[in-house]
This record gives sequence, C-alpha cells and structure tokens, in this order.
Amino acid sequence: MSEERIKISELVEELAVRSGLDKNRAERLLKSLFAQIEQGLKRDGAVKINKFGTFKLQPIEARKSVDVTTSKEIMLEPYNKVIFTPDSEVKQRVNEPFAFLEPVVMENNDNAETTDSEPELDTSPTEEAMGQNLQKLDEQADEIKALLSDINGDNWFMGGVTETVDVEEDMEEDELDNLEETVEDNEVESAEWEISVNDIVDSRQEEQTQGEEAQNGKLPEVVKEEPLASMETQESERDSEPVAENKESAIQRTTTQEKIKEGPIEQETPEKQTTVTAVSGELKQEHDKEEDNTLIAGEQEATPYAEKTEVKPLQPEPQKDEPREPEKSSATAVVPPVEPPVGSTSTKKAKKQSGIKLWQVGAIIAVTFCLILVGVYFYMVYRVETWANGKLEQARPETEWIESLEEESATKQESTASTESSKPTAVEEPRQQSNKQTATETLSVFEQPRNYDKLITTEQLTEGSRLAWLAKKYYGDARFWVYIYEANMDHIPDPNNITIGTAIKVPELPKELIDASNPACIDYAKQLHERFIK
Amino acid sequence: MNHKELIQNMADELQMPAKELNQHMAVATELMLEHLTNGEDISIPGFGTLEVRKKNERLIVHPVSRTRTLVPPKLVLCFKQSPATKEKFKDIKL
Repeated sequence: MSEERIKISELVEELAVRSGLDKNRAERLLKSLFAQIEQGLKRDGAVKINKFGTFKLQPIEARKSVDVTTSKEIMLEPYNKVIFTPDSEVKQRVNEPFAFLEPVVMENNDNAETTDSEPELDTSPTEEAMGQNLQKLDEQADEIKALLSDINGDNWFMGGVTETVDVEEDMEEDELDNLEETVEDNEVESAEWEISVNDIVDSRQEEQTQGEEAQNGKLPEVVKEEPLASMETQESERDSEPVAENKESAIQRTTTQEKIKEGPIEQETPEKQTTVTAVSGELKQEHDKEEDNTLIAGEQEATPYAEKTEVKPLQPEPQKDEPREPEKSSATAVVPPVEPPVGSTSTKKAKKQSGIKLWQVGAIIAVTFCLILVGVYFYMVYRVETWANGKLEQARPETEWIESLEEESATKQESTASTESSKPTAVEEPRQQSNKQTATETLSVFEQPRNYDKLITTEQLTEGSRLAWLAKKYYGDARFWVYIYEANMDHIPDPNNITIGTAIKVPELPKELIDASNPACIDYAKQLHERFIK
Repeated sequence: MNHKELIQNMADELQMPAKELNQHMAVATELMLEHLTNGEDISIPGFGTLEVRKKNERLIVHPVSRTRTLVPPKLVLCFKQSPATKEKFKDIKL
C-alpha cells in the first residue's frame, strides 16, 4: 500500500552489496529462501523465520457467492491462504513512528451515556409547559370521552377509542349538549379542522366576538399538539366541515353557544335546530346526528356530570363546541348531505351505537358475573355445612355430599334428596336417616375391595413420568396415585422406581373415591400412600 | 518447518555452510525491513507482497466495564499472497 514497490532483483543487488556475495549467489539465496518457504508450507503448513516472522497456511472454507457476470449462485471452493505473522521485534520496529502513542481511556463515558439516554430532559420550559397542558387536556378529554361513550354508546369505533386528545375541547362542549354528533365531531379533532377553523376565524373576525376569536386562535395552538397523538385524520376532516358550517352561522353560533352554556340540554336542542336550519349543505350529517341524539335522549339526562366536566375545559373549546353541536343536533332540518361530513357522521353514529352496545354488554356481563359469584358462594356454604355435619361421621358427609352431587344410586338419591332439601337445622334429620346408608356407603367407597377391572386407559411410562403425574392427569389430584399403584401392584415392585416403558393400567375409579375436593378422599389416599411407601 | 530446518535445506541447496547462510539471512531480513520501514512494499513473484499498512485510531468499548478507550494508530507488517499462490496451496490438506 505504499508508493514504491521493491522487486526481488533490487533486493538481490542490495544483498550482494551488503553481504559481500556476488550477484548470482545472492539471487540464488533469495530464490532458495522463498522456495523453501513454499516447501515448508506445503509440507508442514507453517514456516518460521527467526527475527522475522512466521508464514502459515490458513484454510478458507467454501462459501456461496454470486457470479458477477451471470448473476447466478456459485460456490467458491475452499483454499489455503498464506498469512504472515511478524515477530514482536519486527512489529515494534515497523511501528516506530507511532511507538510513543498509548491507548487513552475516555473519561466522558458517563456523560455521553447520560446525555444520549436522556435526551428528553432537554425540553425547553415552554415545551414542558405545553406538554403539561396537553396532559391536562388529555386527561380531561379522556374523562369526557368516557362519559360520552357511556351516554352515547353508539360508537362503532370500539366505544369511541378513536377519540383523541384534540377532541377534548370539543368533547366538553358536546357533553353539555349530549349530542353524539357533537361528541364525535369533537373527537375527530385534527389539524385540518383546526386549520379550517382558524381560517374561518380569521375570515369571521368581524362577525365573531373578539373573545371567540381569541379562543379559537388559542385552540389551534393547544389542540394542534393533541392531534399529533391522534390517529383520526378522517374525523378531523369531518370536524372541519361541521366547523365550517358553524362558521357560516357565526351569529347563530354565538347565540346558541350562550344558550347552551346556560340552559339545559333540552333547551339547547331547539336552539340548535334553529341554527341548523340556517345552515345549508350539512344536512345529512346533522340529520344523522339528530337521530342518534334522539336515541340517546334518555341517556342525556344522566349527563349532568358530563356537563360539569365539560365546563371545566378551556373556554375556547366550549365556544367552538357549541356552535358545532347545535348545528349537528339540528340535523332534522338538514337535507343534502355533504360527502365528507356524511362519512364522518356515519362513523360517528356507528361510534355512538357501538358505544351504547358496549356499555350494555358490559353491564350485562357484570350482572351475570355477580349472580354467578352469589351462586358459588351459596354453593360453598352448602357444601361446608354438609361437610361439617358429616364430620361427626366421617364417611357419611362425604357420601351424602357426593350423592347429592352425583346421584349415582337410589340410596344416594334418597340421601341427596334429603341433603338437597336440608337446611342447616334440617340436615340432622336426613343425616340420621342416611347414616345407615352412608355407613354402608362409607364401607363401600373406601373399605370395599377395589377391583381394577375397568380401566380408563393404559399408559406407557416414559422417561420422567410419574404415577403422581398420571393421577393428576386422570383423577385431578396427584395424591390418588395410590390407586394407580394398587391397580398395577403385580408388576410394579417399587412405586418410586418404575422401569421406563412399563404399561400402567389407569383404573376407572368411583368418583366418590377420587374426589379431589373431598377431604376424606384425600385423607384416605394419604393413608394408602403411607402404607405403600413403607 | 522451523528456522533451523529452513536454513539446513537452504544450505543444502546452496551448498553453503549453515552459519554463513544464517548471517546472510540476517542481512537479507534487515534489508527487507529497511525497505518496509521506509514505506516501500516488497513484492515476491509467485508468492505475494510484504507491505506496511497503517491502522487508524479507533474507539473501543469494553463490553463489561463499558469504558471507552481510544486505540492509537499504528503501522503493521502485512503479507498479501498473489493469485498464483492461491492455486499452489489450494489442494493441500493439513
């Protein structure tokens, strides 16, 4: 890699001069040297030259590659590469120009890492403030959205999840109106909407009050950041349109806004309708919205809380929201649909509808779950009672309980009938009655000789499997392995040490015997376990 | 093949006493190193080229202690085989 290349011939000459050899000898020497190196590599794969270095052969494996001309896959053959490792003295000598340099440990490790890992700390105060404001708005918006979704419940957008922070401001206003449409519109927030609003605001400065303008102007600043987090550009488009409409009826809006803020929801709707009539071109959306509103009429009454939350949000929002809301709610008067708004309203309706459905479904699920819990509780109580009663006579309660659960035999049925109908106080009587039965039952369940004729299956023992595992699998409790062992006692000398591949019969056992939740069953299994382990 | 063996073979081939040959070898290597340290490559036909390459300085990060170290630049002696050599040693299996 340097400028000049020295050939062997030059070396020869210099060597001849230095060593005093004649040229021929020098040439032969050098040639012989490299020939011998080659020989050595071929023979041994390595040649070491003192005070110089080592030549070695390094095997290179075959690898896939692509032919540059044909673009076909080719396989590069394996070969041996000649490598040279210089001696340490040679290395030092070669590196003399840089010999004074030493590795330097960088001291800025921590700083670099921290700065890299925490870039977020460099937010400017204004940005931070904006972020905090946005967070607050987001929280408020989330609350409002939740409330609205509960009210409306018609959102087919998964309960209005699509609502974004941007919608917050609008949401608050909408809740006051309890209009799905307004809510949806608000949810739709988007840069476009804000931009269009801003444009309209600018154009309508004369019409609008200064306060509105100021508020509207503020909105874009704050809300624009929110839309960044939102994923609903479509909604924004829809919002833009209703917003545009609102703008058109600026005068009406102001009036409606004022009314909305003050009066109840019902009062607002007529006002909105009036404003809507004045607006043209957005009829379909509003119409749809009104329909949704009527559906939600009943729910609107429950929105006083929502209204309150709405009041909380930024003032500019209410102003904007109100004008939009009235227009939307007064959909009845609207006739020709505007395409973009139509899409937005339909989606909003769907959102409302899905929201309502979700709310209903959720309520139903909660109620059924509660009922299930109650049933389970009573069942457990009953069980405990029967079990406690049976504790006086060990076998009986279990049999009674089992019988009551399963009704396996006529006698059991009688006891179950008695147990089922028995209350804590009444249990005693049936208990006495079934005592005799249970006594025999007890004997039959635990004491009677178990015949393992019926098999659930036959398992081949594999490496690592255990009887306890089998018992768990077939009976539900590992402690019932004793029965499996009993069934296979003839060919299992030691339950702890079973040869792999042994065919294990898994007997079918009466359910009262292997009831995992029955303490008596567990105790008996334990007794057998102790007996076998000894 | 170690140095001793190499010298012996060469001595046999050149019919020169080993001691003398050693001395000449030392001169030859010294000669080569001089050229190399001057920044000149040595090309050996049928073998390859001996050259001195510069390795630039670089930052390394110790994976455990995560300390960053600046490795200084250096010059290294490298050998690059010629394409003909590749064929010579291709079929050798060690």
